[in-house]
Amino acid sequence: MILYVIKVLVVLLAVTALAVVRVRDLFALVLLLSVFSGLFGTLLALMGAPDVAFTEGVVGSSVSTIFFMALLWRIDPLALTRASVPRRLVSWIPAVAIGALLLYGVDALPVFGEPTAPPTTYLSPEYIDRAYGDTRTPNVVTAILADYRSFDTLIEATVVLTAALACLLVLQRKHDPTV
Amino acid sequence: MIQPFDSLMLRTLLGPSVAALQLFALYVLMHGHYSPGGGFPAGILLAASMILPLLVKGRGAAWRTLSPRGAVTLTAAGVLLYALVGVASLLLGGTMLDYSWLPFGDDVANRRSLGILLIEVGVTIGVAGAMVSIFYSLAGDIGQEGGD
Repeated sequence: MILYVIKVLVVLLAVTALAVVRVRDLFALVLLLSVFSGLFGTLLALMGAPDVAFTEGVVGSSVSTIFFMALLWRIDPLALTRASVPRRLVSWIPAVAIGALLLYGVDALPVFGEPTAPPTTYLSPEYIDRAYGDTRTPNVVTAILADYRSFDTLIEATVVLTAALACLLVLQRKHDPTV
Repeated sequence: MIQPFDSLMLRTLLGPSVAALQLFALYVLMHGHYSPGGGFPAGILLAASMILPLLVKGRGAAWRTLSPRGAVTLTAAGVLLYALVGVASLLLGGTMLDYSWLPFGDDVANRRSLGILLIEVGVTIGVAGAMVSIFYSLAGDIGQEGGD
């Protein structure tokens, strides 16, 4: 049953992605991106990754949508022009190439839920065994993120800080009449 | 440009929504040990509760939400809290970010559990500040206290 729902979601994801590419209206584009993230989050939740799904839900489909909306206020829709055909071709070629490469690589991935696959046999069982005794944290994901790989998360936090500072430095305009 | 959007429904629903968002953010943060969630989503939810009044009421309204300067300060404070937990465990005799050296009672596992909570609080504060700051940057009117 769940596999059937996953298949339907994947088809919907593909349709949304195509719509994102084809749609001309920026407002519709932002909403479609939000829908894409929402579908993707549901997919992750169904595939047994609720933590990632939660983050995808709040970041991908909520906050980034608000950010895009904030950007829309700054953009004059009439000033936008469509790129010329050769330019569009140039951007289509790498997109198709990367898509083909990923499809080619799918074959090498282990089957979803396969008990003998390397990700499920190597290291993961040890974390699952030890996490509660080590840290009194039943949610193994939290234990790994915030304890075993705490360095990672510290650097991640500094990345978020850097992003905020970069946005501030690049976008800050004090009473610039042209903006 | 952040301008107030005059709508009775939005204005009426604003208060309860902000309260619900902040309560949920707190739950996601405190319950991160037991359920999906933790510092990052909690920070986003907290930021959403501070962005929402800006969207509905505009900068000029008497809503005491975070100022652009305050947002950046909050981000730095969150990352600093995280780093200080690491340095504290270093100074107390352990290695960087090894919470079992923090002075939280006798049980080693409990100490590590509380250490996780402490850094999650840091991540929440940092992410919330960063998101509000990025919103201010994108929406404009930085440094213009009081708005339009």
